[in-house]
Amino acid sequence: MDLLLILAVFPAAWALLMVMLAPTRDADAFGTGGALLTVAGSLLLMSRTLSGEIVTGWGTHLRADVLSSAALMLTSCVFCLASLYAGPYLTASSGHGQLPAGWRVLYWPLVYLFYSAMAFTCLADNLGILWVSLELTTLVTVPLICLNRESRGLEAAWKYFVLCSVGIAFALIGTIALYASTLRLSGGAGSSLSWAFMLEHGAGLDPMFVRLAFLFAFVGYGCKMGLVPMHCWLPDAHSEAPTPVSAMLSGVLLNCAGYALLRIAAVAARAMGHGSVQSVFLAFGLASVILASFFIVVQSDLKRLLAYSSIEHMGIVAIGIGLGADGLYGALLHALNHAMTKALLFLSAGQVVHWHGTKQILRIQGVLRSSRVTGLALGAGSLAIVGLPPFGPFLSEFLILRAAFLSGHTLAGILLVGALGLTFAGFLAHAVPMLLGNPSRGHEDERETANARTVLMLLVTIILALGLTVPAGLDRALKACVSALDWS
Amino acid sequence: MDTHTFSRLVELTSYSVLLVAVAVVAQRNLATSIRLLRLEGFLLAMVSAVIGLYTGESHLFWVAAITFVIKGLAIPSFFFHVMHRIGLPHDAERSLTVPLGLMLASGLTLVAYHVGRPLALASPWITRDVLASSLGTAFIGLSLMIVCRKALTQMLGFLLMEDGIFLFGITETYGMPLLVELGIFFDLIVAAGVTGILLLRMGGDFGHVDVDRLSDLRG
Amino acid sequence: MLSLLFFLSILLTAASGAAALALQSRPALAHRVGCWGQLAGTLAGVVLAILCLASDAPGHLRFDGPVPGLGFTLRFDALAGFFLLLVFGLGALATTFGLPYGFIGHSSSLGTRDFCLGFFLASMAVVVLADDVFTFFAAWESMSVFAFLLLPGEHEKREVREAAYLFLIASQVGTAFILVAFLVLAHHAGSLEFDAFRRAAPLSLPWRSGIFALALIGFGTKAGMIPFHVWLPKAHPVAPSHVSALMSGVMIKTALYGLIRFAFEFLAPLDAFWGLVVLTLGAVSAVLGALFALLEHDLKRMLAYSSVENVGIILMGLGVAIFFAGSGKGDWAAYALLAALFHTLNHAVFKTLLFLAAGSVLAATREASLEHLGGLARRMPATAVCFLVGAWAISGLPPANGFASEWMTYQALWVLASGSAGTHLLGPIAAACLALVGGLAAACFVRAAGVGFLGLPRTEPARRAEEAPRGMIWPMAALAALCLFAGLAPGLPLAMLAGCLPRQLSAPSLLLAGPLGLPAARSVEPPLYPLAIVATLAALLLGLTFVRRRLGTASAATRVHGPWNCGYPIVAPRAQYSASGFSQPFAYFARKLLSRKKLLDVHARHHYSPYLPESLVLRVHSVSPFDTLVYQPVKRFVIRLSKRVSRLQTGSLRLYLAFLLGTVILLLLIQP
Repeated sequence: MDLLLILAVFPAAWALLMVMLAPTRDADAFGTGGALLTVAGSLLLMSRTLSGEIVTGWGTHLRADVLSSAALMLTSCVFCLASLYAGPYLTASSGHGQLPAGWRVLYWPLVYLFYSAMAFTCLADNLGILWVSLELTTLVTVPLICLNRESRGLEAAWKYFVLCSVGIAFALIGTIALYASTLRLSGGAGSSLSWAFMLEHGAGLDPMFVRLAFLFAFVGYGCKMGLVPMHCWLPDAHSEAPTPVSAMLSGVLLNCAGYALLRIAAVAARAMGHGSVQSVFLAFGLASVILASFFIVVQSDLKRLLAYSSIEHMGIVAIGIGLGADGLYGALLHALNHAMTKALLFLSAGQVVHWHGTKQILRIQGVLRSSRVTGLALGAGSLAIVGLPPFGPFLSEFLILRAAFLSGHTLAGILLVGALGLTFAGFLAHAVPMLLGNPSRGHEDERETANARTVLMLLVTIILALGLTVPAGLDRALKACVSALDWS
Repeated sequence: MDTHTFSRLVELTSYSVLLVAVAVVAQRNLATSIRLLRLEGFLLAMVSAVIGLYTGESHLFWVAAITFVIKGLAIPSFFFHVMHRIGLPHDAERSLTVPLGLMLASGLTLVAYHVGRPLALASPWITRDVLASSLGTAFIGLSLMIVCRKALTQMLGFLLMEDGIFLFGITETYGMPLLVELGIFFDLIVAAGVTGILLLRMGGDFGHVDVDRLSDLRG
Repeated sequence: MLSLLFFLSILLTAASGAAALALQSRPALAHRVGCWGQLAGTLAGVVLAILCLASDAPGHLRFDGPVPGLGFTLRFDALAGFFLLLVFGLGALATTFGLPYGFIGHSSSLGTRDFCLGFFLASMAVVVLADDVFTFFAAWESMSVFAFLLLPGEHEKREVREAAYLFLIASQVGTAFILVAFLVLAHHAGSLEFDAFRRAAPLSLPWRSGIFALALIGFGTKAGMIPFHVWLPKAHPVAPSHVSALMSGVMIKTALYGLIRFAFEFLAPLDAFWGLVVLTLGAVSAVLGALFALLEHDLKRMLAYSSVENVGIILMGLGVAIFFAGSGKGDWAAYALLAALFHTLNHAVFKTLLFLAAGSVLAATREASLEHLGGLARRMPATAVCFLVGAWAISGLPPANGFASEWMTYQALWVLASGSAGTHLLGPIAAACLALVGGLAAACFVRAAGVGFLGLPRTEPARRAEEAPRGMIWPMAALAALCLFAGLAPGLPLAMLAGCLPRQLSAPSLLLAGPLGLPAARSVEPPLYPLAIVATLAALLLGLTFVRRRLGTASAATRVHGPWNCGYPIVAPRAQYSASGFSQPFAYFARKLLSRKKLLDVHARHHYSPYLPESLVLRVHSVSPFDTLVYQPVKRFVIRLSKRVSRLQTGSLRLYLAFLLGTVILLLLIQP
């Protein structure tokens, strides 16, 4: 039985099934149930790969090592939480007339296709398939962003579509160039798009050609990952998408792009040395962190604030990648922490936006008193995302900072500390007035749905637990990822 | 086909691709631009077929056929269809004059040659000089997206860019694995579909497809 | 044993907080559980602190951290023990005070508050015990977070929200500096452990100076050193009083602890110049802090400013110590550091006492402004006596403890005066500053005690004030007794502190002045005995009384007059000397330093004429010049810069595409 193919194709099949079978009423149950199945599947894969086993499938087009299964597991977890949240959200939104009534019929199949594309991304060994699936994620999410029938949504979708298509086209040049460089391998090793093959023969690849490939792929996948200055689509798309989609876009799609970039970088580093590859990551990461911090300071729209914060955190991840093995460990951990925290923030902010009917930060106040659960979630998420203990991001940011200073990148470390300080001040300057004070009239006693409450509390628990301890299994998985990429 | 004829033929076609891209920059009629795009499609199909003949790889003929159908026939007619549905004027509005646009295009081609030169010298391929013209086509496509004010012409630029990348792929690798080629075509079709839907909705909701007026989201 | 006590104290304080949070639905029970648990934990901590102080060699404790390879390392040595004693000793007293205090006033969020307080205490304890960067940093950040969470109890008030935010930002900015300093050191030492810092070969002087500057700014921000103090007077008064006491009494001391560790252990050999910088900053903080305190009407904010002043005094001692250590005069450095540590201890004690007394006043009257108090001595006699002792001590008058440590600081400054050219002027100037500070502080607390506790009540709440419950009195009484004890027998705390000195500054033999003596800096001079001063003064007083009584009866007959009351039969409360009136001359002299805004609100009875006012309200805002000249411009600059940068996101898709093309071309041309 081809486990990988099932894992990747199953969601698409499920989507088809929902289109054919599920009437509108049961769509939510179908959607949530399928999401739970995807988590179970990724757990199964994780249990096999954690011991170092490499699973292949669909010929050799799919291949899962521990990094792939970790990425898939993160994706499925966030997907599942967002799906749990989505059912009542869709009901409430269509009730308010924010979304068209037939929306739900389209929503579920599209998010399942989206997940399927991300699963292909995580499991692909063939870099061509990796590229195709990542491009598909763009195409599938475009309708999800603009389905809310608002002109702003349409504008965001158009910008997202154009910029990411161009970006990903550059990544195609990179992929082709990598393939072309395997054609030039001496000794007749044969040509292949297989990542494992490339990593094995990496040292024999022509460094000049690989450099071209890496630069194009970096700009392409970096665009999808939201690195400055290719980030411009991100605040628009993430802020205009419906809440559960925003959570998935920020929580996992960015990570998937980062994952693709990391795979290519691992090959490139073999051919052209780790130093020059890492310096590119470091430069773009620093640019992202610094620029995003300025945007955060003067942001007035809640969801855009979160979107810029995603850019900042992707920058931190890129910096971590650019700092060698220790940094990569921190970066992977940070990607996980950021995914959970940002999902929490987007989902709780979605509640707040839904109640107030506005995304303007200045018109929101007293969330802590108007609803205990959402207030707590938004508060904990805010403290976590700016890097305060006892939450997960604190640990991973500390690891990255430690890697920066101990590896002698003092200037980069200082710049990172400065930008983090500015972000801290900027983000909390918006978050504190929203949370504290008395709620405005009509919002004194708000209730979230039971599903939302469960999801939010679950996410708070997760980021808290990740801040208190990194479980031995996770530590082992992260170390295995670092060694699988042969990063140093 | 002997090696010399082959390399001349491929180089000739790829230079034509670059030339057609420049021609798109050099004129302002939307319909003509789409026709030039169609010509690009034919040229690319021809390159694939020539390489297929030379290497004897049968799947390249498939690639040539699909290219001919999709890039040469389907997408251009789809664009004509969208154009008529939205009712666009035939003037492809640009923010640069034609001479300036040409200067930009030649600058980008120079960059492409500068970048491609060392790679081409190191390349064992006989069609190595094609690298620069394919990159140049891609850059010109992107620059067209930058100077165009209308969403439709922007997509035209995007397709031009895709053509450049296709040329890059086919001449640098003599054919990617068929599966990947199929995936790329599939993406292209879906992308064109998404473009069409978005364009039609923009035409319906906004009453225009002017990119410059899409600036509600800022800061 | 040490580790057992450590875990016991930390777990008890933290777990009781967590229990209080869990029991939140029943506030009274939650509060009881939280307080008693914290009391037990802090008492265990006091034992731990005493063991640390008594131990000869430092003990270590390592256990696994959250991430493998990032463990917690703790070190139990005497210096940590001293600060641990402050944390847990004062923590115990504040918790005791907090038990009845919590029930007064609105008690909706008691469980949350106890939760935060428990973790606040625990993280402060870990801060002083930490022996690697990660432990220190994690504890330091938790300390800030939980202190922040303790602030916004009444967050419907705008100034409370702003104070909480400001506190968090200030502490984070400070933390950023500290973190960079630590990590640069860690890069040099190749490890995050403090022991590696101690062992590593010294860096070159520019690097060391840079790191010291970073540490000074970082810790100075946390300690409330001018010009980084702006947050302190805003944030500390917002918290519940026993928490304010811990913040002013203990939390800012952890910053001084960090500075001492940095200066004497990680950055050795010291440079004399750093000491002069610290001395200057300390003197400025002391003088301005005292001045601002004198002009402040809000009782708690006044105490907060007075913390700035006292941190300044401590920094003066520390600066002299660094100077001497840098110039190779180990015994004088030890003496000055001893003065600084002693003042740290003293300030912690009397500032906690004063904040608790202020809390007791606040609980009885709900008024924090001096202008609304008065006559409390008769209504709350025990609180008044305790406040008076605290005020006496903080003013540096013998025989209370403030005198002892300030006298030692003077001694250190006089020795500095006898030093080489250049510094021999600095000593007397600094000493003069210290004298000025003493005078200002005395004026400030004469005003506070006089206006707040004597005379007639100015408002209805003050008239109806009742004495605090006994549970609140006895922690204050204990602190008051400590003030007097440390003042009369300074030798005992000094002997304890002598054990805390860094190894390179061996405790000099001149400290052997006996339990009752205050040693002089130069061993040739005799020690000072506060008890002797008291005895002399008492004898003088008795003698004078005696003489006066004898002479008085002999010379003139007693005449009894009623005072001239301007025609009024009874003295009205509003005719009393007011707090503003008292400080007005000082405000006049310092007018250049303060931009005071006066606002006159006229409430007219008839709308057609403002000349027939029903009431006039004069509101005076004193705005800190640092706020208007430094912080506001910085804030405006950052916002302006951010606005400019954020214009990059114009909304133009074509520009975004140009970014993309530009990036590709740039990368291809650079070819990294």
